[in-house]
Amino acid sequence: MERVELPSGTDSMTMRPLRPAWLLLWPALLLTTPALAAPLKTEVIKRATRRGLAVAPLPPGPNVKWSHAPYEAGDCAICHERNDRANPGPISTSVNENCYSCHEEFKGIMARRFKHVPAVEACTNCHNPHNATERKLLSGEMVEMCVACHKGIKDQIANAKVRHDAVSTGEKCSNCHNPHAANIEKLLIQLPFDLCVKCHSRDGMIAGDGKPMTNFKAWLADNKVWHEPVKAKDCSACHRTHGGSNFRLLVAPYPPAFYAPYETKAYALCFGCHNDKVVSVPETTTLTGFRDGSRNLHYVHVHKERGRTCRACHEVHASKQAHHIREGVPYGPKGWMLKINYTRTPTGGSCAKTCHETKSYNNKTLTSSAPK
Amino acid sequence: MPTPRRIVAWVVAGALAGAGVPAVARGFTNVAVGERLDNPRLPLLGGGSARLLSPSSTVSLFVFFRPEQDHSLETLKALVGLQKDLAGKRVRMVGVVSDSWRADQVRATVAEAGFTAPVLIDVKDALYGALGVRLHPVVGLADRNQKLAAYEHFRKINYTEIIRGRIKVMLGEATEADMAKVLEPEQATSGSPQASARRHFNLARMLWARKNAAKALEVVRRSLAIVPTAPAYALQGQITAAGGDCEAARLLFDQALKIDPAEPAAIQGLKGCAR
Repeated sequence: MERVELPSGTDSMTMRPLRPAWLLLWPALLLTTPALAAPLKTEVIKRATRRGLAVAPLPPGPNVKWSHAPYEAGDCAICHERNDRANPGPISTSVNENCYSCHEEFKGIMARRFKHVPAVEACTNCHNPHNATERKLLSGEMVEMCVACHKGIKDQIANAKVRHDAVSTGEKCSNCHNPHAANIEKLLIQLPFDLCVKCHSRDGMIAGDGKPMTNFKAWLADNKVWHEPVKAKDCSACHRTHGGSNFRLLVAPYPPAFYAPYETKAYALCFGCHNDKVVSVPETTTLTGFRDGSRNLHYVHVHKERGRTCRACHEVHASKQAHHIREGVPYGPKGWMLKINYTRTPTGGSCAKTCHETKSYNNKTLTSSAPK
Repeated sequence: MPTPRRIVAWVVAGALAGAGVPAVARGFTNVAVGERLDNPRLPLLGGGSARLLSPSSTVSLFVFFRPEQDHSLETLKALVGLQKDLAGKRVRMVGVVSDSWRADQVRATVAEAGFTAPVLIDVKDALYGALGVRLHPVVGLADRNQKLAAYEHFRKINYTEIIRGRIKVMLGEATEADMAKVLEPEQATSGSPQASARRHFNLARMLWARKNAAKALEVVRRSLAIVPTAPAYALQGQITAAGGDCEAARLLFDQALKIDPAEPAAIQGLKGCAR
């Protein structure tokens, strides 16, 4: 596709809208294309009515900034039956075959594992093959076009209390998704982590709530014990990437403050994978290694008047110690770091001179050494 | 006490983590990949009992799940699809759920997912504790020798693809190299200077086929300006030769043959100019 500045006031580019008879040919063309795409999700609505209607050339105007090279040069017969602007006739093959005769690389792209249904059906579901007001000859503004079918995403964006700039800046949806086909579910260009660190690997980024954001490349380089979703490059396991209602775009609630009374639903984020019984049952010999005999020490820590949240002891993304134990926690108004001094032992572990006096635990016996 | 094999596995995993390379072959907290699993007989949700693993199957898949949890439901649904894809193969699938959940809660989850594989009841979380499961959902894959071949905790992206890939490797239908591509999929880029040059070349070729020499020449020059290729030089040579300028055409055919000595259109063009 070529960018062509149209001369103002010229009407040489004006073409009549496609004839009704030509529009009737569209369903037949759509039926001849292979149905190889991934199944549609429930949140996606098909917009069959739009197909075939956005392909007519736009009348010239100041906003029509993009034009397809053959159309611009008047070479109608490259795609159509005749080289006659007034009456070009039908296209010579199926829509996509026609496009692939020049845009050859799309044969390879469309052979990828996950395919976008509209792209499989016809390129003209999203592109105007003649001219357009948008880059890439898109028939409309990208986000508007995408959410016209992706209703669930539209609602997420519209109702988001916490917004994600990636949705609305730069390449917008195409920052993360390939709208044609990809090798990863959700048509992601790369695994989530590789996409996220394209932005979240800078110092000085500030979140919508004014708080500084982590430079993840630097943090992960310094802290080699990575949380499983981080290892799996699966940021979207915990973060809602299109916008959401929880701070830090978390997919589910998690207490935003350091101290919070324990309530299972307040930790829905963590319990999306972790077993809530790890903290909710006072006695266990199977559910966690953080126990002294059968006394569940997770339970002991969170079930206090001022319950400690997970972050009191654990780093979420990565840490230097096993079990994602933090080195220290911010204490007092100036955020002085109080060391946790956790030591792993063959029979459990200990925390020394930290929030409390030195205490050790033994998870190899069924009896507790600590007073109940 | 940890076995010597586990100590070796920890040392290897530690070395990989230290090198910044994610350890691939991790396992449950208490059972590493490659270690032999116990095969307890557990009560079934619908009555009766069954073993965790099936020695007669090439792959035994077991999924620890829990009711009233989105990720478990999502995973069970995905496994239903996977089970259909694997129909007729020697793959046996079971679900494992804690007896701390009521039977009606488990049945509701299983029914909502359409999960038809047997569901084993883990009494007092004994199996959960013995393996050191820790998370829900978690999928374990065991071979016919009851060795843990793969451990996969939940992922939001490509979870089914990874489980499918692991099973294919175990069935001998895919290689470890194929699996590596599933774990680190190729970037889905679109557009490159090469693709753009090729697009212009294709348009030029079509224009030339329609005997539109002037436009074909203009477009093929654009292609060459992006990335010089043998076919594009050869096409420019053909158009130039047809215009009667064989001397200039020869130079273009030579350029094409410098890039690709076997470029057929250039070889043909030189022969034509020699006549």
